[in-house]
Amino acid sequence: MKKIEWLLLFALAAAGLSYVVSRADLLEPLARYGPIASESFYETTARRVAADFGAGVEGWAASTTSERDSALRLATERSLVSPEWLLRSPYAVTFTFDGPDRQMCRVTLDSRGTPLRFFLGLRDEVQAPVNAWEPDAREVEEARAIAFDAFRSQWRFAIAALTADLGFQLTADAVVDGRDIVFEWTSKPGPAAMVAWKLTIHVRDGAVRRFDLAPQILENLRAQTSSYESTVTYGVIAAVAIGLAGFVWAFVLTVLNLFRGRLPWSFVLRTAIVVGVFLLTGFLTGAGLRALPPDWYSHPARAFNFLMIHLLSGAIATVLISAGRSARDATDFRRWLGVEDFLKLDWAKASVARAMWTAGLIAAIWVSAPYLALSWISGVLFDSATRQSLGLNIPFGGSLASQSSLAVLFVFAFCFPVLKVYVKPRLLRGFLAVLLGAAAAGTFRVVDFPWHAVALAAICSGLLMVYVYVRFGVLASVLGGILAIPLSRALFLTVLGDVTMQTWGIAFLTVASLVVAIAFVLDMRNPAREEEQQLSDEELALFERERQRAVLSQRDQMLGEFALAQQAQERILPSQPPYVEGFEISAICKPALHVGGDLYDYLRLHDGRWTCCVADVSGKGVSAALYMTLTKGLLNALRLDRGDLMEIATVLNQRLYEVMRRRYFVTMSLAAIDSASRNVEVLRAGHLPMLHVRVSGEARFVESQGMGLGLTPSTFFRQKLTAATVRMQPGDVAVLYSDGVTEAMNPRREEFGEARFASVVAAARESTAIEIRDRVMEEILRFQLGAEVHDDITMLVLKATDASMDERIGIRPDWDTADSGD
Amino acid sequence: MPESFQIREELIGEVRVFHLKGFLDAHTAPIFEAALHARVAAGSFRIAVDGSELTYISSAGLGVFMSFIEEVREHGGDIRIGGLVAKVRQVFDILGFDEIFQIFTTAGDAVASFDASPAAEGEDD
Repeated sequence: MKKIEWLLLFALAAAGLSYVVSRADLLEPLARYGPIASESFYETTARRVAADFGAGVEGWAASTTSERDSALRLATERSLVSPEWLLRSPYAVTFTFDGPDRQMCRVTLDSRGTPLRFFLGLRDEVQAPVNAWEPDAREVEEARAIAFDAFRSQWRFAIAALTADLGFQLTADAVVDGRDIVFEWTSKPGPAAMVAWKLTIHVRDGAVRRFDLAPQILENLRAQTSSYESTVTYGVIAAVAIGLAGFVWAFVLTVLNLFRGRLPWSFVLRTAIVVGVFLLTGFLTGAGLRALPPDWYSHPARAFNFLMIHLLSGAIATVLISAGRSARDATDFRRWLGVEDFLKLDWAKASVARAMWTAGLIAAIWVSAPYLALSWISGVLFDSATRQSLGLNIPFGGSLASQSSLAVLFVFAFCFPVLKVYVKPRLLRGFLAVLLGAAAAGTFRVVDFPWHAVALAAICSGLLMVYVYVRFGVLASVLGGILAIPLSRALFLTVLGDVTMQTWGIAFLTVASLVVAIAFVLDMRNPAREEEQQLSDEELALFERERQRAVLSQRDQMLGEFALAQQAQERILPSQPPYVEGFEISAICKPALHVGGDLYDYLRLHDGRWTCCVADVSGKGVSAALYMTLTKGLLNALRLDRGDLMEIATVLNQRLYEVMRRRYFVTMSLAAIDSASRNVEVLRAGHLPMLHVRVSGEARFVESQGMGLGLTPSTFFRQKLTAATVRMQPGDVAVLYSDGVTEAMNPRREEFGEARFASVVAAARESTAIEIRDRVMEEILRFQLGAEVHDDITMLVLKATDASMDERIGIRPDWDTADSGD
Repeated sequence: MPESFQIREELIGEVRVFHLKGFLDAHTAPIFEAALHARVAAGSFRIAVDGSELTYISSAGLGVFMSFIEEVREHGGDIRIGGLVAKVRQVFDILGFDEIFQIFTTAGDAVASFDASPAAEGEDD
C-alpha cells in the first residue's frame, strides 16, 4: 500500500475510534433492558448497602417497590433527579426496611445493583414545631462531631458505591432545622456523571437522626459540560485516538516483522502477557460489571474509560518492547524517532508511526497540563469555599485527575527509557523514591483506614520500589507509568489534603503489585531476560554508542571488497554434510566480519573414514581468510593419499610453517569416524578439545596434546602430538568448535564459557544434530545480547544415531575398520 | 569495539619487562607489536612479559609473541612470560605455547630466570 492509503486508513480508524470513545454512553443500553438479576439479588444487595451505612436491618421487614413508574415518581416528586437521568438507568428497585421504634431504612438500587439513593431515619416523623429553638455552641460542636463521624465512617462506601473519586465538600454546616442540626455534603461530579450527590445528616439530641444520600442534578454543571467537552474531552479523545491508531500501526509492523523473522516469537508471548495483564487490570478495575460481586460498584462509562486507559498502557508497552529486543534499543531517542527505521522497515512508514505516537503524547500533555496546573495552583492557594467564590472550581475534577494521570502515564511510559539515557539514574531513582514516599505518606494520612490495608499498600509499594530499583527495564518503566496514576493521586492527597483518593491509590497499588509479582515470576523463569535486565543503563548506553562507532568506521573501508570475498569464502565451505552411517552431522560457520578465519570441512580419508575438521586461523579479517583458504587447499591435497590423521596434521604443519608468516598459525581439530566400530579418532592441533556428551548427559572435553599448526617445525610438532579415541554410543553427541563459541561475550565482557556450552549441548542432546547446532547458536545469540561479535563462530555437531535402523536395513560398511592408532 | 589495553614498560637489570593490562586481541595486538618492535630493534633481547593484569588474549595477540621469538633467540635472548591468570594461561596451553615459551608463575620469576639462563634452552630449533 502507498503512504497515502495508509494515512487514509488511519484517519478512518482514528475517526471511528474517537466516535466510540466520545460516545461512552453507547454502552448504556446494556442497562436498559430491565433487571439483570433476581429479586433476591437486589434484596441481598440492598441489605448489604443498608448494613454498610450502619443500618441494623437484620430481622427488619422488607417491602419492595420495583415498578419503574414508582421509581420515576419518587424521583421526580422529590426533584432529586430528572427523568432524563432515570431514563438512563430506568429500572429501579426500592427496598424499605421497617425496624423497631419507628426506624426505617430505604435503599434504591438501579438495575445493576448500584445504589441510587439511601435513606436512614424515622418513619412518619412528626416535625416538632420548635422554631424558636437555638442550639448553644456546645450543642452545635457536639452535633458537628457526630455528623463528621458519621460522614467519615460512611464516605468510603459512598465513594465506592457512587463510582470512585467524587470529592465531597461540606456545603451546609450546622443549619438548624426544627430540632435537628443539619449538615450537608455535596460531591464533585464524576467524569461521566450528570449528577452530583448530596449527603444530608440530621443530628438531634446527640444522635444521628436521618442519613440521606441521593443524586442531584447540577444545573450549572450542564452549561459547563458543553464547553468542557469541547475542549478537554475532545482533546483527550483525539490524543487517545491518535495513540490507538499508532498502536494499530505498530501492531501491523510487529506482525510483519515476526513473519519476516526479524523478531523472535517469544516476543509475542511477552507482549501478550504485558497486554493481557493490562487489559485484565482494566477489566477488574472497571468493567467487571456483572461478573463480579454486586458490591463491586461500577459505572459502564467509567469502566470504558478505564479500559481505554489500560488498552493504551498495553499499546505503549507493546510499542516499547517492539522497539527492540531489549531496553537498549529504546534508549536512543534520536534513533527511535526516525534516524533509523522502525524495526528495519521502511523509513517513511516508521516515521509516520512514530509521529503519531509523539503527537498523541504531546496532545495528552498539552491538553491536561494547563488544567492540571490550574487545579494544583488553586488547590494549594485557596480553600474550597474561596475557590468556589472565585469561580475556580474546575468542572469534572475527578475526570481532570484521571486525564492528568493519563498524561503522567504517557510521559513515564514514553520517556522513561529516554530519560534513563539523558538524566542521571540517581536523579530518576530519587524522583521515584519521592513519588513512592508520597504514596506511602498519603496512605498513612488516612484516618481510620484499616491497618492491614495500610500494611498491604506499604508492602506492595516496597515491592514496587525494589522492582524499579533493581530491574529498571521496559516493563518497569511502563509499570512506572501505570503507577503514576495512584502515585500522582497520592501526591495530590498529600499536598491538597483531599481525602477522596485513598481507596483508589491502594487498590491500584495492589493491582500493580500483582502485575509486578507476575513479572517477577516470569523474569525468574527466563534467565536470559534476567541478564538483559541486569545490565545497567550506563553500560547499555556506552555499549550502544561504541558499537555504532565501531561498525560505522569499519564498514566503509571494507564493504566493497568484503562482499566479494564473502561470496567466495562461503562457497569454500561444504554445503552439505556427507552421509555417514549411524551418524548425523551438522555444521555452521558464522564469520564475525564479512570474511573469517574459521573453517570446517569433511574429508574422506584413504582408508574410507569420513573426517570432520574444524580449524581456526589466527587473527581476523582478510589475512585470516586468505590463510583459511590456503589451509583448505592443503587439506584437500593431503587427504587423498593418506589415512593417518597424525601424518596429515604433521604434513599440514610443515607446509603451513613454510609459507605462513611467523605470527600466523592455525589451530585445528580432526575427528575421523569409523562407522562400523563407532570409534571416533580425535586429534587436536592447538585447538579447543572436542566436547563429548554421552547419552546419559555426562559431558567431557576430550583431552589430547598437540600444538597449533605452523608454529614449529614438524619434528617438534610431531613429538608433541597425541591422538585420542572416543567410542560413540548411540545418542552420544560430539562437538568440534572454535573459540568463537566459548569466548562469545555479552556487553559486560562475560564469556559464554565451556561450562555453559557443555550444558546447552547436554540439555539438547536428544535432538538432532541440526537442532543441537541451532540451539547452541540461539543460546549464544541470546547471551550476547547484541554485543559486537569478536570472533568467528564455528561448530560441527556429530551425533551417533541408533544403529539398529541401519542394521535392520542391512547396511554394512564397505571398508575395513581402521584402528585409531595406525 | 575499542578495548582498553595498556602496556607499561620497565627495565629491571638487563631485562625489559612489559606489563600488559586488559584485552590483547586483533584490535590491540598492533600496540603490543609496536612496543616490542621498538625494543627489539633497539637491541633489547631479554624480554619478560608480565601477564598478571592481562584479562584476555586472542590468537592475534598470541601471534605477536610468535613474530618476535625467532629474532630474539637468534640474538641470544628470549621472551619469557610470567604471572598469567588461569584463563589466559589455558589459552597458551591449549595452543601449545608452553612448549615454545618458558612460562613462569610470576613475572618476577620470569625476570629472575634470565640470571640463571639468559638464552633459550634450545627446545626450539
